[in-house]
Amino acid sequence: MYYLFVNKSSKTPIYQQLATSIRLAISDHVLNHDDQLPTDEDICVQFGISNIVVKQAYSVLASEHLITRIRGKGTYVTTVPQIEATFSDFRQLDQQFSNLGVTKKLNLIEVIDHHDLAYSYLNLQEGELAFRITLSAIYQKTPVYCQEMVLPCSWFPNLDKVFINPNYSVSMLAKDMYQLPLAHSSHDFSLENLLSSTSQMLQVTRHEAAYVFRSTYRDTHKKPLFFIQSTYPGRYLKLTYKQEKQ
Amino acid sequence: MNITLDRRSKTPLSQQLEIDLRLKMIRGELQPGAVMPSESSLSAELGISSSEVIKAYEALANGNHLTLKNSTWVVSFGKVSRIIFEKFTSLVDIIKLTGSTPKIKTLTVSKDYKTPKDISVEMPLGKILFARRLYYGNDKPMVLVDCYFPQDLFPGFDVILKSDEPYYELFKSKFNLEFSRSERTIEALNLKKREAEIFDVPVGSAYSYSIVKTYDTLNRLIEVNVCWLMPDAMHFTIEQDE
Repeated sequence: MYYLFVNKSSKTPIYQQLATSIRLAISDHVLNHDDQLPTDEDICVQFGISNIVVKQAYSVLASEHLITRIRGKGTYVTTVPQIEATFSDFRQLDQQFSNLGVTKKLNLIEVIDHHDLAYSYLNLQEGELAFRITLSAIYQKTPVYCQEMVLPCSWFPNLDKVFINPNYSVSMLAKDMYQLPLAHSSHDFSLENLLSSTSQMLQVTRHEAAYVFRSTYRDTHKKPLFFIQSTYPGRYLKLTYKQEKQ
Repeated sequence: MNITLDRRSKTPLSQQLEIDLRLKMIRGELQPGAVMPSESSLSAELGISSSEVIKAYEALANGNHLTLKNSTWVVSFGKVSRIIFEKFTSLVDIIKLTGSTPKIKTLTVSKDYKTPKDISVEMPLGKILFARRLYYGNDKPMVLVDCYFPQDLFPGFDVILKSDEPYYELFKSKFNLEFSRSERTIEALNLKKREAEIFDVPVGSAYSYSIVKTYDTLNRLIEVNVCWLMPDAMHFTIEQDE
């Protein structure tokens, strides 16, 4: 914690001084991505300042997305770059993140018989079986987005044995492995506050603003084949859009 | 109803409930016309006081998301807009696409404006005319725009802007000047207190934040704006062939 600096005789509030010294340490690469910061108590004792001041400093830095506080675990530096993508290339988002060094990790494969949202997108009845797969995309040790897929067992038999590499595209899997006549897709775009379970999984602030894409892939008769929901917290993604007047 | 509330969170329970219910509507889990559980049964189910539920319902009603019909709450909001960014859509168009009637109110106009530090936009405009406008849809605030215009290009614009007309139309009718293209960034951000109060929604609500640069047919930068857009208007579908 040698990078911390507080001058108690200065007029600048102490929480600002603390925040500034951490900001400097990050920009000078003294602190790097995923480094753990001292606990609130350590700082209090070391500098003889109140707990509230430390909390204030950390919450300023958290709102600037420079650090992430994980309850029961600690405070960590996060220097994940924000990706800038053009809106029309939203299908290439996976690729762009992967160019940055983001890899997908498989979290869960299960068989379900109901799902409020996905079943209505897929026209499935409660009781029909489907695979549910959740993935998180990791940059170094920080999750930057997550995906939930629902694939009916009738279209994708034995998927649990086939789905091994989460970085392999599901569209390719559907076409190559299952020979499904994939022809159309529709993508619902929306901007939402994250649910608490998702924000915990993504280690971001509860109710953080995020982009959500809900994609339904259909066959030649527009019959839905599978559903993918991708959630991108706002802090890691900035979209750009150009318009020309015709 | 599948709702999880976090009792340790600083966000009041009623606001958490409001956000969760609005999410369910955006996601289509609660369809327009659906009847909500009564305040007492939902409060019993969630183990919170019924005043928290009433607060959440009233806040949703305030935003035209719920309506009270014969003393039952009915969902009146759903997947309305299917905006596809294919051709140029002005803010007024966006509000119309959500099915609402637009109205503009100019809150501030000032000449020789200095851009605030917290907006990191380069302003290659020379002298700046600033206007803050609030766009309503069905009398509900939907878009907040801070516009920066090159003052010398638009003499007398400060007075004309107070007419509350869409400014793209004013460019044309008053200065015979037409825009040709725009560049827009779209970010997902949580509302801070100042903006949340203007929109009358909970602090931290997810809103779309954009910085837009507009150019005229001579390729001159004629406007930079910073705009907050309610998430309902950012809800759309893109169809593609595989």
